[in-house]
Amino acid sequence: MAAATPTRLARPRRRRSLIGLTPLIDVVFILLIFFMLASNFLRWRAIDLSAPVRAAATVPVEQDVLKIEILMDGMTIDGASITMTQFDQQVSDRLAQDRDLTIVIQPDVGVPLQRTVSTLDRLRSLGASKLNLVRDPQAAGL
Amino acid sequence: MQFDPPKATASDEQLLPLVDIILMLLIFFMLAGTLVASDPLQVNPPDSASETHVNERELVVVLGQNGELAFDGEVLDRQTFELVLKERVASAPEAQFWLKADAQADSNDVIVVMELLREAGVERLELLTLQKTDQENP
Repeated sequence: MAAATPTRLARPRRRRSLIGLTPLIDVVFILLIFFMLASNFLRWRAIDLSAPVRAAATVPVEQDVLKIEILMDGMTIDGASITMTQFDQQVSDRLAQDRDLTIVIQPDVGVPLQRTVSTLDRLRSLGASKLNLVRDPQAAGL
Repeated sequence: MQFDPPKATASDEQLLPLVDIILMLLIFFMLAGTLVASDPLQVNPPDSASETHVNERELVVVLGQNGELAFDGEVLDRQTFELVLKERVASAPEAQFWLKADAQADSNDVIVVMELLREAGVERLELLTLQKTDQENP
């Protein structure tokens, strides 16, 4: 009995060592680290720019247009500077008069894109649909 | 009978749950993550409340924080960019383009690139943003 037990145990041990679990774990670890580093979980969203781009060249002057300028330290609506609370109010009032109001957004030179995108978001949440982005005439270009 | 024969092989068998978990993690990362080629420019896109989802992104124009342009995995100057763009638009006129710009980039640079793309004949253009996390308004 005492002699039989070790021999019966020795066989499976030798069979497993033929393949070896450790290299498998190594490879799987390397794959795991690769996928952890290489994959990303960012949730991408998109803002459609096609329509505003096409419309930007031909902004109808005679039509009712609301012009919003984004300045480095504030905003203006039709040339009058305005605070954020007044902004919502004024835009809602104008939209209540005319659902299809065309809004032209002109960011000042140096205004970061995040502010412009946030403004677009805000206008869209207020119900504006016709949004046009227009370049500051003073912008030098790339 | 006092010695425990299984202990001799236990070192291998104790590894099995570990291997299971690692395989599980591996499969999770393989299925849940997406492998995307990294951009030639470091770009932190703006976030927006937009609900439009984006999956495949092929023709991505990257605009860096200081107005650097990259397309097709290469940083390009403006002249080269216009040439490359014209070729691409000519070969695929209806293609959807994406613009990936840094949140701190000048808005006017973004509009300039929009105009460039439009002049080159790009009809469909979207700005790539990230899903908005709770943040202050403009």
